[in-house]
Amino acid sequence: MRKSILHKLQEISGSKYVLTAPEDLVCYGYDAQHVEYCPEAIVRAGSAEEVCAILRLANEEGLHVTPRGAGTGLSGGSVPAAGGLVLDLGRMNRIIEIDQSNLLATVEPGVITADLASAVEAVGLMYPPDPGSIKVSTLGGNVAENAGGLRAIKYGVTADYIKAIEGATPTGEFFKAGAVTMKSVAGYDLVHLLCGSEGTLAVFTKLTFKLLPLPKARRSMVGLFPQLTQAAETVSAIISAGIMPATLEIMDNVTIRTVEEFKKIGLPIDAGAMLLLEVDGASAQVVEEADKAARIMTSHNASEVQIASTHEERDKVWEARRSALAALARVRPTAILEDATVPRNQLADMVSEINRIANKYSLTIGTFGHAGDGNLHPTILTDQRDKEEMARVEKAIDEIFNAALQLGGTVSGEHGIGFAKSRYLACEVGPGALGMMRTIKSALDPKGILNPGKIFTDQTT
Amino acid sequence: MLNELDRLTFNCIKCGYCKAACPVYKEIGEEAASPRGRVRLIRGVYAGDVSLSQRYRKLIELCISCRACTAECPSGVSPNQAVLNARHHLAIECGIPLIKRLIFRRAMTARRMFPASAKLLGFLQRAIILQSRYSPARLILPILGLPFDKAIPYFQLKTFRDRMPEVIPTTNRKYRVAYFVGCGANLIYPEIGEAVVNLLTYFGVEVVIPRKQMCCGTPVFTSGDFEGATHLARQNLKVLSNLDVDAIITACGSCGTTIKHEWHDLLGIEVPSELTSKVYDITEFLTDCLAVSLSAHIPKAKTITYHDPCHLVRGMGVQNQPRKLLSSLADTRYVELASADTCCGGGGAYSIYHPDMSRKIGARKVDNVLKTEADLVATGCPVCILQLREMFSIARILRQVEHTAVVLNRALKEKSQN
Repeated sequence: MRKSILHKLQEISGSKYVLTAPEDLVCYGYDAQHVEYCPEAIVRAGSAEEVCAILRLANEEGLHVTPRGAGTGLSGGSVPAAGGLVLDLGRMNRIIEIDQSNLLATVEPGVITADLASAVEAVGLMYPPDPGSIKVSTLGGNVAENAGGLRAIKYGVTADYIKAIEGATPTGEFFKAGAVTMKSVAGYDLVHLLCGSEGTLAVFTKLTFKLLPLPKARRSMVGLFPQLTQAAETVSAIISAGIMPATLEIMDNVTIRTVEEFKKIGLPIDAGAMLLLEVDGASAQVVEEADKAARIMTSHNASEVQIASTHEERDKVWEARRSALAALARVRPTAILEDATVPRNQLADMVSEINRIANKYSLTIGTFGHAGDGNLHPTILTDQRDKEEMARVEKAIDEIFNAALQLGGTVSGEHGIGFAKSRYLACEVGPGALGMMRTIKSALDPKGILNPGKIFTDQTT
Repeated sequence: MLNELDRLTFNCIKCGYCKAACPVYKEIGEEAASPRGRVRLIRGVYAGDVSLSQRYRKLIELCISCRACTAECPSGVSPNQAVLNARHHLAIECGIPLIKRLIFRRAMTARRMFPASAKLLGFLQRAIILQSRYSPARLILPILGLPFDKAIPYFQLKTFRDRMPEVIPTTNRKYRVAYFVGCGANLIYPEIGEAVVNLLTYFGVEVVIPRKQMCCGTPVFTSGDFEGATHLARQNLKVLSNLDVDAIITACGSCGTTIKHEWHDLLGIEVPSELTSKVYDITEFLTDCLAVSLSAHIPKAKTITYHDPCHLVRGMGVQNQPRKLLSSLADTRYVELASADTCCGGGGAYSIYHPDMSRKIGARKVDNVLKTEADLVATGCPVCILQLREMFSIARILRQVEHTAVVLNRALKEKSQN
């Protein structure tokens, strides 16, 4: 990067917050997927004014800028695919206000998701989105990727909670979008255009979220099934019976065996699949719904159903699920976590497809995920250094996405397109919608400086 | 060596979960100062895209070895172990500074010279009244890059082991154990040693304090000198292997972890499993083997809390035992400390090499202690005691900080007096 640009960046944010050492460049070149690109510099902005000034400078100089939170994304959203500058927002990490009378929280983008969740819980409120990396990920990153989580089935995703956004446009103008009122139809819904825009349309500097009262009671249970497809069919049965669990997760046999090997918590290694379910709400309703769900599991061939009655038993139920990725990641050096998502009633077919694809390409694929919302996490266990196997992995991923689309699903439930999935986007959304997306992008970012190389397969627009 | 760096880092899936646990990253906020960043850099040294630069060395040295990242890692990588090996690699490629070489290879490996030089230091400290906050001798500290108000513990003029016989018998002997004293209790805080011996003999345990024991090697391998540490480990191993004892007791999480795990896992020494399975922390032995419960009153402490030393909780897995013992004390309320198992910033010699970082991490611990309103903080490691006392002293806050064994021993004395 040119010295003159670096000097200007140092003037904006202070030289302490402009990093150019090769060691730093290497460390800002990755996120939680496996492809890396090195930036030319990193700037750690401390205020909205700095963010605007940096983007104005980038426009003048034609400098590529990739905004970044904690770098825990799974589609390459914060990886500087075209080099240039990484704009680290981690320093902007203040919880500005928790407004109990309006059930709102206002934060800077670098606040860690779990920190907000525990701060609002301390006053009897709940911030429901709970992505897997909740202890590390930032809210700015969550909004940019429209992160989901375990509780999405009942409580929805980040987009269902974001109310207002302040930030900078790609050309460096400051903007305020959205409203903190319950209702607002003032102009285009920019908040929901920006939520999930993967850092290609704006950089956020302040976020306001809706909160909920903390549920009074919760009850967890686990059901064991001889076959994965039976478990998947049970998911639809539970939903059609009018039960809305807070969480409804599935684990296949590969995952169960791996977790048991790693944790030794007494999981049945011969079970074809496990469903883990939690209901929450008022005490009486929770008991009733749990019993009803247990009956449905039994009538759908569950070989065993256990309802957790104590805190310890509840923790044990969820320990298995929490360990799923951990356990799978230990089997082979590289774990590729996908998030193909289908309509809930297609879950059983999707599961069978994944099994078929794993056999076809002789790969080990552990499947677990948010069964309740049709969002599976087929996790391919491989070794990045093995070129031949990686070629088979690529083909298998292609087929998994094709299968999801055939079943009316989407190529990304909660991880985003990034650069990892841009080649599938056109197949899903079609030329009309893709054209609209490109038009929006080029209208807001005429020079294409903000997070180039993401979502779209080329950046010529 | 490079193959070892490869083996220790190739399973990292870069999920970043370790970042939430790292106390150093929390203060700096730069990716390269996180465990995931360090693992990537070490991997880069193996892969050839990172060089052994000053910046690399600084980032590798910034790790405080609290092992929190290792406990958090889903894919079984130990960033902590990778960093220690990277330091070893740096020591091989770039050498070890002369002063460290003299201390690690000469002073510490000579059985008599190390305590003797500590005694000499203790004498000098008293001669120049270094411990006083206003001593003019303190002017030397800023020259050495240390804060003027750095707490300097007095080295003992007579070490704990010199004061004690080799065998301390007991009546109604239930067990016979060896006590591995460690440098902290031997040279600086002899009251820990006295408490351990008192407690054990009171409950019917004969204590052997092997004469020829040395430093366990933690400060040596932490600096990357695996060869120096291996020498110490082998000497100690010889001493500990030939004892007719039921258990080996430590009262320092780092000594215990090093004997139990690091001699083998890090230094690659063959340590018989009969030996490692005999290593117990004092609180672990009192609860798990002797089923001790103390209902006695401790003077001047109404509310008590406990700070987990990193190597005791994550290295030796000792977590409930000290809590159980402390809660059993009569007339004393035990309160749990928030983030009790987060590092206090002590980290052995870390507070000397990185005084600013050490104090930033320590300040968070002080805040959490203040929230408990406890007037006594118990812990299980001499370095944590040193660090916490310094942190309270510079914050001008009056709080007692004691080793768990010292607290229990005080309660015991009180009990026998009544």
